Amino acid sequence: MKVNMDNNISSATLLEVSSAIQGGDVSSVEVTRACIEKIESQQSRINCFVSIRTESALESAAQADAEISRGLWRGPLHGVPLAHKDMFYRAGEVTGFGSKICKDFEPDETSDVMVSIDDAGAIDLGPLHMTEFAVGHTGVHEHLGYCRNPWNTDRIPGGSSSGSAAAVAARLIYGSIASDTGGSCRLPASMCGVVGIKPTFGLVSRFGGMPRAWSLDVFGVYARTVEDAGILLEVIAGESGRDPATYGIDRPAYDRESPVDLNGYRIGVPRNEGIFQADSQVQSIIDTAVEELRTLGCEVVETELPDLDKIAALGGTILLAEAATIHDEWTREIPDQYAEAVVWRLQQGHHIPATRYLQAQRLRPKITEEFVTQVYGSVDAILTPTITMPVLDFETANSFNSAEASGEIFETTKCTVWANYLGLPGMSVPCGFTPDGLPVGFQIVARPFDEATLLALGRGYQTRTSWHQLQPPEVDNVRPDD
Amino acid sequence: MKIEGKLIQQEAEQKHGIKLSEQRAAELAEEVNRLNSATAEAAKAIDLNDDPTVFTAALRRLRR
Repeated sequence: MKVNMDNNISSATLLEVSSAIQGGDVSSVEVTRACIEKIESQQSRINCFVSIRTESALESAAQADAEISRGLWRGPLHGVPLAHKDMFYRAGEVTGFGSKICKDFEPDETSDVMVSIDDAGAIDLGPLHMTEFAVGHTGVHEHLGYCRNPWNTDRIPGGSSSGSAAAVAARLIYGSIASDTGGSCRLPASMCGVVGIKPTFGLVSRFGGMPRAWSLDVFGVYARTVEDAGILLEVIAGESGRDPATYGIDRPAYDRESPVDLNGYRIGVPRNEGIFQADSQVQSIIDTAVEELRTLGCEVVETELPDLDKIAALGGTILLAEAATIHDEWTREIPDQYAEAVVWRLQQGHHIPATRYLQAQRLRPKITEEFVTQVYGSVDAILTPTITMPVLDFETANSFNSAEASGEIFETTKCTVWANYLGLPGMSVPCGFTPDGLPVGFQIVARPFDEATLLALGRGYQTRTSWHQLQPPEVDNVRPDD
Repeated sequence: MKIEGKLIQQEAEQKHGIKLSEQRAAELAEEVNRLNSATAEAAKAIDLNDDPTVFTAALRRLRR
């Protein structure tokens, strides 16, 4: 699509707007100003920004324009407006983690992912809404007010990266960096109808990002198209001397030029049972997506997976123990500064014995090796629902967010958390809508460091479908924050 | 080996200085028991030399 200011620039993809900026059809200042205007008109409706950095964004955009006009083009993010989950440190800027406790926290250093994004010349429009300390998967929030789903503001956007998914879905920004410890990137992607990638553990530096659980945390990306998501991932991936998990990892270069040919790809589809047993509306949409991929040339194989309930429980053991350790002092000394449901979940880990925690860690290499050998010996990727239920309304989500709701919490994350324990890359791709107009996404999970397969499958799927091109309605009831 | 809410309550107070109601301790016990028992069961497969620090190396080895 040829993009200029006469077109509706917000409907352009990241790559389209990037090409327009590079080619001089629009300036970064014009695009940034258009995003700011749209954010200001939508913020009361969606509440996805914590704050808007109007002045610094416009300054960065002017600098980008000046550099590009001198022939210094830094790459496809140069001059493109983005915004990121409120958990990535920027020296001297408040990074609040969606919390009351850290609402005035100003880090001394800048996170590796923000350094990479800045070096690529992207424009940062400000920190995005997230659930408190990235706990919870709904978007319900006691301190910041609810972040709302742009497709229907009575519905949740998912969490913990609520604002990132909502802002990309609402066309307020062209992409976002977020995190995924048990599904925090993929779940909101599915619920808001955007692409969300959780990379392999160790592909992206965690330095300077708020820790949720060190062993499981991965920083990922959001965009509307798989191609755009790949661009963002390329920029933030690769070795950092400040995160030993990334040692020896080269910055990837994903193919976005070749025509997509999915002939020969083998996709494993688990039987619709156990943790993947989905609501019938969701399952029907997932089945259609599988057929689309088959039509594109993929071989679809019914696959039996190892015991994912066990794997999810091992991941939960690590998550609870590490989160309780991170929050140990505050949950003891200032528990009333957390939302009740949040402190309840953080305190659970106090009662995981060190021996159990270490057993879960000792099993991790072995179980991962067994899983990869068994599953990826015969398929290139596994395809599942990202979440088995339709997008919830806030009333139901509030009951999920209560202190007693551990079973329901497991329901929301059961399709995603196992990939965090195994360290595998996963991506949620929009693939349809339930009859009430809410998005559904499928998840594909590949072997370690095989993000290229996820991107190829996702690109192929989006050449045949147009779910990613649909836009949420912009006007409905504006309501005050909750 | 099931942990009762009472033990959770005592552990919270004596080890962590956190006062929990009986009801909350019982709720915590339920989730903790689910995870602890699943982990204990899975741990039967652990060998003497299973080393938790080799996870990232395993991921690199398993790449295509």
